[in-house]
Amino acid sequence: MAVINAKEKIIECKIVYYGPGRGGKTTNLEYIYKTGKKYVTSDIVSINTKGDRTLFFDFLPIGLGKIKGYDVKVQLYTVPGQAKYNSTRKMVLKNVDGIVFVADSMDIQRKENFLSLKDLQENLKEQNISIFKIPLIIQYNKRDLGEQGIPIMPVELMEKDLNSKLKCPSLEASALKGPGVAETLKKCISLTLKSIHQELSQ
Amino acid sequence: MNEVDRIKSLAREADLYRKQGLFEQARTKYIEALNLIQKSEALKNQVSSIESLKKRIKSVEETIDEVEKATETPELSEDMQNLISNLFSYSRNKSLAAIEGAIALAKFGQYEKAFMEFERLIKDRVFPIMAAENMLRCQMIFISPERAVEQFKKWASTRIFTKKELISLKEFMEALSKKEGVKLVLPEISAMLHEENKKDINKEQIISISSISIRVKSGSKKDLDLDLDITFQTGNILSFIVKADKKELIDFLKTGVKIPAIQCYSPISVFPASGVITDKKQIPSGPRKGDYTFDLTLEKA
Repeated sequence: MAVINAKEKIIECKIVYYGPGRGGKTTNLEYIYKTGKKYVTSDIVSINTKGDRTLFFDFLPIGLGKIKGYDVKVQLYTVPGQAKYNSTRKMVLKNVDGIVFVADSMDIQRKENFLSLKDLQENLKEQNISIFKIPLIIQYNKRDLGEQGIPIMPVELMEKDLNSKLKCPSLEASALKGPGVAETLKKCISLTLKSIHQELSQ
Repeated sequence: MNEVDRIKSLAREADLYRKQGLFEQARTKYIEALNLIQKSEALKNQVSSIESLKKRIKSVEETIDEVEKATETPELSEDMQNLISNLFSYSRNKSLAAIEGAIALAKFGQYEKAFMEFERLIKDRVFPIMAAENMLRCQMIFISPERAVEQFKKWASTRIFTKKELISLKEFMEALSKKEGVKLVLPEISAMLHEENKKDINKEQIISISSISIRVKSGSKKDLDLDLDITFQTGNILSFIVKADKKELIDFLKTGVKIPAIQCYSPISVFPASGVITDKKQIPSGPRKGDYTFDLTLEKA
């Protein structure tokens, strides 16, 4: 849940990058850290295990400056994608305001994408949050891999698999090279702030 | 695609999966390629290709093994531990936030740092029972029952807890060991205050509650369970906000109304309780102007 300090005019919100293991969640944050120096307020924190896999989480705080008189601060997190780290995912998801679901475009990851999205839905439900109501963006990552001869899924198929019921905004991206990374984050921040605004004015 | 091209393509695909960190998938593709060579009359004598694939399979299997055996709870730097403690404590109440921070450290496997934090809270009398119970639970489950017993003995031999508190902690240890199927030998403590203990709820034993579920007993929502997020908690007093448009619920929640069936959700457990509405106010200003804030005092948990 976002922290709003009306006296000091500060809004702090939390966006979590979710998705299957090795899908590019950390790479998204690393790209934002490298290219968004203007907004980055601290070093990126990564707690990894062997094979560069996220063990606990990655954390990157960014500041957006003043929006309608409020100083907007966003905390970006990733979760560990491997199935065995579900308790860590639940902890990181606590008090989440917006989610970027990073789906892996590789053919062989089709089932993993589906399972991870289902896992997200269940973990949100435990916090009494509906996946249909929380600000959510789906990012179809690794679109560039097709050029290297790796079989990737058509976006239409991924939309059908993951977004036919959710009908949330979705974007194509290549987190390693950059296209789509900033756009995904911008979209998620925009939806999240809109949702916070709606909640406050209810 | 002819046989040779198919094998080359599989090996290339496997190399790329390996680069992506998808080691299991890479192994599957290497094995597929190797099987194709070995089954092919024309290619089965290509020793160098077979050896190259076998080498790659061995290497990727070693990596898989390393990943699987990697420690899952490495000891982090103090800065990292402090960050975890700060990022995963959400209560506005500083004391509860401190407990949450210590629990988060334990959940991330930073046990010794968590124990230090719990000890500090106990020493400073910040929810000492809650801190002690969390510490004992953590030691019993994640370290060893013996460590928990040693800890309890240490506390029992000092004046850090009152006799009443020690009895309560002993009961907690006994219940926990029963649940875990462990036999413990704990030192005897005089049970003089035992009966008195059970009369009221011990405020410090209330754990941090993030939300509750209550059953409405009147109106169109009669017998429906409603979930409410807790905004503040001071001991056994929980505060929550109800939006102004939930008129039926607001009318039902009058000061003095007893709620016999409450489900309490905390970061570490879910438990039933009963309580009474002890305060009801309309918020006069700010973003939640017009909504109602309620105090619910838990009586039995």
